[in-house]
Amino acid sequence: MANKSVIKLTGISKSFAGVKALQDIDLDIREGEVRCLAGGNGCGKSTVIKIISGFYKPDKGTIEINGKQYSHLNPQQAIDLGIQVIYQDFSVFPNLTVAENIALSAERLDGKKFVNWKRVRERAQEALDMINVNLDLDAILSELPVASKQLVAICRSLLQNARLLILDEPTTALTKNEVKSLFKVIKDLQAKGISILFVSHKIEEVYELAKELTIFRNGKKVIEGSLQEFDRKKFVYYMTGREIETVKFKPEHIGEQPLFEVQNIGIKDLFKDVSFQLYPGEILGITGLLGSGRSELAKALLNLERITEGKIILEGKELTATSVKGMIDAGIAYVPEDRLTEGLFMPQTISRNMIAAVIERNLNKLTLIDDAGVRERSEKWVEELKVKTPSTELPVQALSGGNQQKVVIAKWLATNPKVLILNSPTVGIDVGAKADIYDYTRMLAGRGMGIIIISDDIPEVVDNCNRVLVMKKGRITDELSTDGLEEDTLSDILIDANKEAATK
Amino acid sequence: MANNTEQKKRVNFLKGFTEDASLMRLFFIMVVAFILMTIITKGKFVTGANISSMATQFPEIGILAIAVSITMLLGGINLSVVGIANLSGVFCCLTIIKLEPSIGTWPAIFIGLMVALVCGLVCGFLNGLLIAYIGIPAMLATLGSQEIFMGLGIGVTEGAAVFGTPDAFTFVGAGKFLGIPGPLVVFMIVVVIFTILLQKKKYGMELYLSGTSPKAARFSGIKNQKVIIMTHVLSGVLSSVAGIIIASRANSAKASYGSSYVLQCLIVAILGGINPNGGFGKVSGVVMAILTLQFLSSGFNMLRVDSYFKTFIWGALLVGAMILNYYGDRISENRKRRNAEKAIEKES
Amino acid sequence: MKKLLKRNEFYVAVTLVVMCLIIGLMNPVFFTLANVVSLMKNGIIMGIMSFALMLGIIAGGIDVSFPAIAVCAMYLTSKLMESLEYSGPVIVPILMAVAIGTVLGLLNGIIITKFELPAFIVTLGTSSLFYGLLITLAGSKPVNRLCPSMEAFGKAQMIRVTSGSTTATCTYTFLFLVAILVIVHIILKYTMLGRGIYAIGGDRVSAERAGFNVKGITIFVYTFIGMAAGLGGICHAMQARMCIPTDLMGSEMMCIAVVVLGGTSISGGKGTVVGTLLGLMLITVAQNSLILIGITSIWQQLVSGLIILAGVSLSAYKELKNSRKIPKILDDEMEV
Repeated sequence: MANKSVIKLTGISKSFAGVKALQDIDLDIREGEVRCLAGGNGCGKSTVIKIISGFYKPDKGTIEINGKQYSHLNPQQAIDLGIQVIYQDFSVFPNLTVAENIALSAERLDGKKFVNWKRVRERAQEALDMINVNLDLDAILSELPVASKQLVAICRSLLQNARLLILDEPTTALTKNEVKSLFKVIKDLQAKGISILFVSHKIEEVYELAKELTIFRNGKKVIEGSLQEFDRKKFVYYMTGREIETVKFKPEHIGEQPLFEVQNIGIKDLFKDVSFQLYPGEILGITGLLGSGRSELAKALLNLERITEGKIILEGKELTATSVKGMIDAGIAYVPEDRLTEGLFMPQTISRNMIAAVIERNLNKLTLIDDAGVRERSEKWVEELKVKTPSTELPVQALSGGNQQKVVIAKWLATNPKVLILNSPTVGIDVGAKADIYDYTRMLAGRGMGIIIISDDIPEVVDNCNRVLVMKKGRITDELSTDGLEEDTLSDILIDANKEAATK
Repeated sequence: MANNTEQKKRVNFLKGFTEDASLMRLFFIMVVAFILMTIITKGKFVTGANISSMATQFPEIGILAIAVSITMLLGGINLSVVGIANLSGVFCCLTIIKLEPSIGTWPAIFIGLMVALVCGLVCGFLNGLLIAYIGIPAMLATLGSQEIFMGLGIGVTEGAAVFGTPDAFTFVGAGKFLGIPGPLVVFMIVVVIFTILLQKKKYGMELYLSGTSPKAARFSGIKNQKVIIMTHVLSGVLSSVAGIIIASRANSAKASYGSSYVLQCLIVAILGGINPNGGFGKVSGVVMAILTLQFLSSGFNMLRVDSYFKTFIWGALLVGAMILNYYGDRISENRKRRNAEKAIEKES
Repeated sequence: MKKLLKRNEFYVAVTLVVMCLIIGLMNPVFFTLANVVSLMKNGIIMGIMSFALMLGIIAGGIDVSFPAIAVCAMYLTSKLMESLEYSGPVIVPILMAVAIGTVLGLLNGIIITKFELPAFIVTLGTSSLFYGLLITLAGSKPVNRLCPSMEAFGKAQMIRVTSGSTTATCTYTFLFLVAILVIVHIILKYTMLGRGIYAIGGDRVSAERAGFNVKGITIFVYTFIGMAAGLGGICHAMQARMCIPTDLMGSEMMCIAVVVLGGTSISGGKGTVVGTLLGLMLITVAQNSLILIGITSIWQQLVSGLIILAGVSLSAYKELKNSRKIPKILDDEMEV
């Protein structure tokens, strides 16, 4: 603890329209330290980030940097003091090149009014070298994979003399392998004396990376200390305020006849020869790295992408519908990967969201929308799924992430499906809501519904599915029973996939 | 539990209030405009003659404004409504003139009206195709098709007005039904139909949802392209209805009539609370906005204000309405969020 | 070569060449030097405004008030010079027009940024606001005699060629077009400001987070458009050697078409000076050559509308196809 503070927050409070987002927060980040900031949704993590980076002005408290006291910072000041934030969406420019994305901000900060293309390229290369990464300087960002965009964002912050690098949920969009290389980069940076504030709620990552841990809940700091002092149970306890135990899913009763079956389906260039059967009462996992074709497969099951070969069979009958609507009516429901853009109409009310997929089932005899019925059914779903909201007439965007996801699930259950496909159902959701969602899917399976969970979150798949399919490069390569399956075994299978690719 | 339902009721009430805050604001503005004009015209404004003349004037722009509004609900726009209206009017008049000698007045008028409506439908369909299947942003597509519709009208008429329709043709634009001016009757029918269509029909729900987020709509099984085409067809047909009223009132048609109408339609739509980003807005708002605009317009006419000064006023109103909405939304947004946050906090 | 094929400019250039060949084959007059010079002259005003407009579109906003601004600038200037019986150098009226344009553009910029409003609708409003106010206050009578120096500047011939029986000339206003082109190119390519314009068009929120002065840059863009509109307006008056306040109104669609045909993305973030130059040539040729191939004036609006829409359709359809492309996943092309 001999290292001196990079930034020290004392007694920071902030409220929005009377709601306390942060209460009397102290936070001390020291040089060369990797500190993890954990907490569920709405715990105040993002508010703290915005205060440190100067976008919010705290109501109370002080910020101390280099022995100087500030009541608040402005964004430019924060950058000048060496504070850099890598946001979840990386804040890169999709239309500009790698070189520009990396070096332009630094050039601008140096007060340059004109662009020297040679120097921009040199500095960009220099930054890439610092983290030992190779990228084409002239590539347009929108054409790069997510992980590269993140590296670009990190390089950009390095050039701006970052002393404190704040990573906001940096692994959300990354595959396991990409996470590994990101962690290596972070450790290199730490060795260079840069402090890291790693904001995350994923337990595994926190343990792998951080030495120091701070946990927020409801805008308050609940505990802080060296990571060794925390075991998983304690961690979860402090995050949620309750103890959550994971129990492995054991199907109560699996039907004899397959409920849903795909035979050799494929889409040109995307995936091929995919076959599997789903029995009633099963929860089938499909896992694979980002870009393995898992999401494309999921979309094909709802006709969001049209299959070019093979058959999809439900209850013994081939589905020939060519539209999304046709699949929904046949009894297939798909909870998409990105609830914000694909799953929900954010500014619209909860009840409107809930009927979006089956508007025609909410009409009265005159084919007019039955408003009273809609409200009644929405309220029923809200209660059933424990969505925390005072009214179904609130816009969905007023809800927290976990409750939003529950609305998406309710929206799909309202279609009365036989098969429910959940793609990455718990990304960005706090532990409490996560448990609710798992419980609910198990209950649905118990009622005889067929459920497919598509995810690269290995514990999620291992704990909640009875069978798992592994997808690599557009094909299904393995099928495993999760009975007695270790998480490490499954992740090894996934990572081997990449070694194979590397040797090819 | 009792406490809980109590709370629910309160939130519902508050929510209704804030969502309709802009409608309340609009109503207030409308009343103010009416009173203001009554005062500065020293009461001449509320005479029967003026009210009846207003009733014949605003429906055409009102209908065009609804035509623009529904495309804005989709997050798009339709800048070709005036072009479609004029082209429909031209075809309508040409058909009537051509057919009248052989099949008689009323059958010719009937066919003429049908031709106009079909013209609107086809034009709207074309706009829809350009937007939905070629992927041209609505603004650009309709700005371009406006050139085409107007160009076609000019070409067909050689730039001159079309005269020579029988007097009977004026029954829509200048006639009265049960003492109510024809255009107003048509307007009322349009308002009723579109209120039901938007608020109570499946199409309306799809329109609002697709306008809010086309991606989420696609994932919900809504066919965005179909909604776009349908909306632009409706917009085209509404434009041709306005075109019929215009032609019928003047008993003639001209390809380049009413070029300032587009701007006025946009003002009405924006003032009426239609969100240009799509997904929010109601016909009732548009109705109040068009009435407000008509009050101002009539008042200015009585004061013998120059038509260019009116252009200035419209422009200032559009900018002013948006600035007003900016502040209004910020206030109600804050209130809404505060209520929601409070309620959620209590709930949990 | 592959890179060239990917570029939008390439397709615009090909279309341009094909169109010129067709028109030339139908009427050989097209390829005479006199026709080329007259095309050059006819493209000046539209060019000056289009290059400025491009900045706005790259930044993600469309300005439709520039014709009104141009009219305000040229008419107020011409009227004032007339009433003062001004006889000094031409630079004074030019600067005055530019100043008027700059002020009006600045006003647009301030309204758009201060209230976070869509540029298109704001400028639609300010267009009527400016124009209505101008005509109300200044009347609509044409100024038939410009001041001597403007008259002389408009008369002076930078280029004069005779081909057969026709003589064509080009005025010195052409130099303003060249100047705007060069300035816009330098701004976009070599200044932080220009890169900021691309950044805002690419991702506004990111630009803010990266510390770009988004509001400032946006205000600059609309001010620049206003300035160029002022310049374009006064050039138009000098070229026409009179000032009619109904001229130029309604020309916004053509300028938008120039920019979009040139490959500038309507959603912002993409666009080059070369592309816009090609778009300008394409529209200028299309507009001015219809008469050469025997299309009478009553049908010209329809035909030019069709050409524009066809061109816009092409580039929009290409963008649509690109956006729908999903990167290949299946094993034969797995990335290492």
